[in-house]
Amino acid sequence: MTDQVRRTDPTRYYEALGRVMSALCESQALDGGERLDWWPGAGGLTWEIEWQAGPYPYEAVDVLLRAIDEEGPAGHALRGLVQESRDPDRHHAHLLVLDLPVTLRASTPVGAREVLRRRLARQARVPSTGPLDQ
Amino acid sequence: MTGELASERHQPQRFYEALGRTMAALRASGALEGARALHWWHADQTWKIEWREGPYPYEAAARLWQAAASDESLAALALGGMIRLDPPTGGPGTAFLRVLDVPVMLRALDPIGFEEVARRSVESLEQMMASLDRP
Repeated sequence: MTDQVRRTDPTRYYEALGRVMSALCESQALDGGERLDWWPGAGGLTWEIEWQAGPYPYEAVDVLLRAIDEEGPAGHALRGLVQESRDPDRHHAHLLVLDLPVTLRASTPVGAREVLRRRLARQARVPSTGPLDQ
Repeated sequence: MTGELASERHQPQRFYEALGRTMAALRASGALEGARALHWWHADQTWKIEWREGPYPYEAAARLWQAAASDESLAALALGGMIRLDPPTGGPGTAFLRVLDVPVMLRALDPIGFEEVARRSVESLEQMMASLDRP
């Protein structure tokens, strides 16, 4: 395990990124996040996923895990393949996906509540003109 | 590789590996420079990756392919020997690739192209410089 997974088991390494990225987008766990970025950490041992503004990382994890519990399509990619590895802090949450460490990092999170508040405020300012508005 | 396409149900491992390799290489190659509102999902056994502004999909596909073919890059680690460009069919808004034989569609809404992305980036840097120089 201390050897680079990217070299010894590349299939699992990239499958882990594919599964977590799929679940993040489908569950809308990163809604409100901007400038999403992702890269291999520790020279090919982990995946790092980062955003600005948006939810706290622990909130994103909550959404992700709830999607899995609710057995909808959004949770499918990670069902049975993810666990939290250690306690989150304000800027980081830590998952194990296919036993690979995945760090969710928010550099300037505002929190899910604030994301929602801003969206409501925007909708109130710009009255919808119907389905074509999107 | 196989008669049946990989999907979430059939060969999910290869299906998700294809997305992981594609996303890793998209990021490492800078193929999405200037793209906003990035989204991805799967439908019809195809991964669909969509953005606003940023490059034209054919530009992103070409950069991905070039990076995959170059030595010693992170993109080559992720995609070397595993990417194929499909002939263009859907107009300037879409490009099609295959990664591990899984179809991947790149789609851009209101793309501006790499040249314009670079121009705007220089412009905003110049504005920042100007504001720093102001007494």
